Amino acid sequence: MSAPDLNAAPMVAGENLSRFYGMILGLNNVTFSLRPGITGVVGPNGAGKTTLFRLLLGQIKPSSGTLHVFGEAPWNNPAVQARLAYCPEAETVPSAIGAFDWLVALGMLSGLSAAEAKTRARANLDRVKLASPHWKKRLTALSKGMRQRVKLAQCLLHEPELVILDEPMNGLDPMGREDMGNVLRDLARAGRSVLISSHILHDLEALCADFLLLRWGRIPRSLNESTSADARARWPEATSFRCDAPDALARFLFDRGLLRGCDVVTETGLLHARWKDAGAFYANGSFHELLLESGVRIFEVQSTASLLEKAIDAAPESS
Amino acid sequence: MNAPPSTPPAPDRFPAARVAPHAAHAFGGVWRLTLRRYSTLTHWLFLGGALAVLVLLAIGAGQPGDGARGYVSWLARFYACFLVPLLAFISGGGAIRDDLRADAVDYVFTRPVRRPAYVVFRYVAHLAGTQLDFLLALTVLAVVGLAFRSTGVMAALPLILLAQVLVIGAFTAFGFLAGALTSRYVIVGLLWGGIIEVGVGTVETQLSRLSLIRQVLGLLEPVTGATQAVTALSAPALVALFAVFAVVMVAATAGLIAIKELAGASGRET
Repeated sequence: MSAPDLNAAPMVAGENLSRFYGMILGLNNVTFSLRPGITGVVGPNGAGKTTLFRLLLGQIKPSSGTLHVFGEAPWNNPAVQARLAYCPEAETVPSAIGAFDWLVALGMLSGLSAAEAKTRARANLDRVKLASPHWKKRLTALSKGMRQRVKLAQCLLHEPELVILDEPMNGLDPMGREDMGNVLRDLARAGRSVLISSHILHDLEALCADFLLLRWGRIPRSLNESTSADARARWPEATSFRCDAPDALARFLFDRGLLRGCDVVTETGLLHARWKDAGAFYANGSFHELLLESGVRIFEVQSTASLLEKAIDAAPESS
Repeated sequence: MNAPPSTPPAPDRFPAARVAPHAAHAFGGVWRLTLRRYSTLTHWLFLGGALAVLVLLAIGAGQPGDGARGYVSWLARFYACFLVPLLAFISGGGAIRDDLRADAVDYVFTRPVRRPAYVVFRYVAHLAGTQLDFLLALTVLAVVGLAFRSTGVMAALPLILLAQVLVIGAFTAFGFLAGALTSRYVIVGLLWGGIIEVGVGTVETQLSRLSLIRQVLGLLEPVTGATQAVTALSAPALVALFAVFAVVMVAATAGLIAIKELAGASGRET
């Protein structure tokens, strides 16, 4: 994960942006900007992620407010679309065409010649690690994971500046997710930007330099600040220990004024510790000594509830 | 990340697209996507089945007693003036509805092709495929006619072929517009057929000129032997009329698609 370049011009800037579908809320008066790098778009179902993507892609118009992508309004604008690529969440793919032929046709739609489109289709199917025996198979005959790889490959044909991926990890096994992560990291290293939504938060945390949290069509400021790069550098607010004497460990930590609260599951030897000041426990690498001093045998230490999970689980609030 | 943006940067601050949009290449892409549908096993099975039914109908139409004239008249009236426009309309409407489905919207309309240009490309590619399908059908029907020793079939073929080409062009374009307007485009077609083609078109006044089928029947007078009450247009005038009709329909479709919001698979899923 690389830190976002805060000096770079925002490639996407939305101001007081709203989008309604009749009475249904899509996005509600959000103001934001996105800088180059891999940005995770996170939020529960119905938060406004897909609406945001469709606005960026120029497929729908804002109900109010302004949106600029690469400095231009994206609605129905080929100059913007030439620099974008989209991998939708839906599994719907054309039924009467093979993966390779589909990529060639889409590459040509992006402006490539037939020969160049074929070359790039081969290169990108290799890049997403789809084995060549599957290239000629009809898209609908491919497994879900293979289709996800083809969907990613179609995004890379025209070397877009910004790749928008809506739940691209769906249906991928761990190896597939790792492969996809590697492709996205390569893109970021090459100076491209990626906007990705996923419900697999651990993958997002490993991938993304920045996050945009959505909830009920809004961007709650405090939640976004809690997931900023600065916040993610802080110590975890809770830690789970699996040990032979969780009660004794809890007393030990309480005696030193480290705990705000805890849960003990004696049967499984689990202590879930909520820190009063996590830094006092973790800082300077002294926690090993502290745990040794406790005299309790520790089998496993794990920080719980990632910042993203906490942010998503947090109570609704206004921005 | 979500700080309020200042004035958005000028477009020239960002690098140009690495692949510039190219209309001819885009047409090639649309052509490939369209004609691929005509080369599938499903399409050929459907076409084979439809041709078999057509042959059975043709055999029924050419029973002894009708004679050669009867078969050619059936070919002109039922095939060229009813079946071809009906199927061309349904095929055109279906094609544009396919393009408004998620598997096209999410992948095709996110590419740098102007929507009006896409509609024109799609129409041309779809028209080519449809013309080839119906050319095959007409060939089969001509063979059936020859099998009945209907010598008039060969003489009538050029006019029927011209009528078929014109009807497919016009009614495919009309299907495009109806399909762009509504998913229930067949109802639009039924309304048009009922009001214009069957209703107004059968009234023996100048109003019947509104009916495209009536115009085609006028073109086919030498074949059918039936005389229209309203003077028929000459062949060049008819070609021009159908061409203008098709252009207007495709232009209206292009205009409609250009202003339409395309939501893809999960338009209402926010």
